[in-house]
Amino acid sequence: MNIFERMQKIDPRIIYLIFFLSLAIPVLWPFALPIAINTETKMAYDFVEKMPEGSILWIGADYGPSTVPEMGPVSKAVLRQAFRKNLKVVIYPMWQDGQALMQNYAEEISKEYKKEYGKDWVNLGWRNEADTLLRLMTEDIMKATAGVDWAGNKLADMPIMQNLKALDKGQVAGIFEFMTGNPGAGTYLQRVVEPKGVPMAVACTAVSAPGEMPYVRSGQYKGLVNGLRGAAEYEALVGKPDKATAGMSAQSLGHIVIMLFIILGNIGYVLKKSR
Amino acid sequence: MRKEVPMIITVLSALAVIFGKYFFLGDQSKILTYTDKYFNISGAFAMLIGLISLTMVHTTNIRRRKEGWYNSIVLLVVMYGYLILGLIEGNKGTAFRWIYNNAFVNLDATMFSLLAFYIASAAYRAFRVRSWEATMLLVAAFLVMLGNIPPGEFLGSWVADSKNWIMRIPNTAAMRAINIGAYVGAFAVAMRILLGIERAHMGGRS
Repeated sequence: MNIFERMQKIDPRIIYLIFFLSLAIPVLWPFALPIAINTETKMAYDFVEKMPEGSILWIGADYGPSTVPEMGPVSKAVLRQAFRKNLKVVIYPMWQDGQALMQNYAEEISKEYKKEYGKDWVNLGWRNEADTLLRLMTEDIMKATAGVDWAGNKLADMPIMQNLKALDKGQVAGIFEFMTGNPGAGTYLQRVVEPKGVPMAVACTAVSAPGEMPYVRSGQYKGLVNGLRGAAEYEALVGKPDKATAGMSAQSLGHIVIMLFIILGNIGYVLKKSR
Repeated sequence: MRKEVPMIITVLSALAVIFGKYFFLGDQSKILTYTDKYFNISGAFAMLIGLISLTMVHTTNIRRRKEGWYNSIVLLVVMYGYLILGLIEGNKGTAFRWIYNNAFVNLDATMFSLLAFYIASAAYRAFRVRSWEATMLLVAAFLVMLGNIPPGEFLGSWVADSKNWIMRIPNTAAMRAINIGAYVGAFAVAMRILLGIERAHMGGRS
């Protein structure tokens, strides 16, 4: 095998090792990088920022542990912004993992801002076929949830639910949907946003972003937070850099390593072809 | 009757949803409220069937000592153990949440993170300038990868501008076309199911 063929056929184990080091070293020793803010992320931030104090922000917690590195930081950033603005937060997970994950983040962030469960925020809890129940939520939340939250507490006893009977434009200021697949933003679009006119912004993984971009361009989404980069931008806007900002150093080095390997492979390919 | 009864149930259910969604009388009768609840209940029964099915498959593996049968023991112990713990403690239970947050979340994230290495290796092997189309794909991928990292901004604003243009214009156009095709196809399949032509969901052939 000559050198050009070697450049095209590097042992995958070497690629894995170098890629692992390019991710692990910045995770252990992160370095700060300045970050520009994307238009779509700013739109999502402004969407929440313009909500009147005391209004209800509906949060769709529709992701699992596999996407926590991307979705966790943006979830915390949005919760920080919501609690800072004294918005009332209602969490509705259509993924069963979203219930526990968003509950963890809300408990952590609510302590920072001294927000009380049942008064300032509530987790309605996951139910089987939650995407079907979403349509029922637009008519009667009590019917859809059987009147209890994620832990079985009665919703009727909670101050936050006194003025919230249904997921519609008059009662909910907006939806912030955290999605990685289906059910997700598309479900909200079909059952809530278009029929009931409730505005929505979306945070998604980087791999989902190309598929969601048409809805931003058409104005159906009021903003789009795209992957770990979008989460880091959102943290910068909220003014509290956290794991996403730290993760940008690992993502940067990882991308550069992948690009270098691709360039190496193509140099070998082109030079071998030209011989 | 094994084929006719499920088909009748399918057609009647679909007609009920269409009536409730697209007709004034259906909207007034709130028929969708009932169908949503019944769908929720049937989903719960589907989960129960899944639990029973898993138990049957893995107990058979253990009884017949099939390859990897000890993994079936672990699966059944963990599945029923966590189920019983959840029934006793509920969602708020300390042990229940601890196991979820410290075991399941980390294990799931770890499994998904393996994908990054496969993508790196696949990108290295697949992205070759074999043709004009492959070269365009490679250039677009490079611009989007560079545009998504802060070091890309050091090269100039043209990197972020290029990435945004790719995402907002050609990507949006292509995704709209794909989505329209997908939804037209989904509508065609739905009509076939409604008319009883498609029977794959009942275990039969069209």
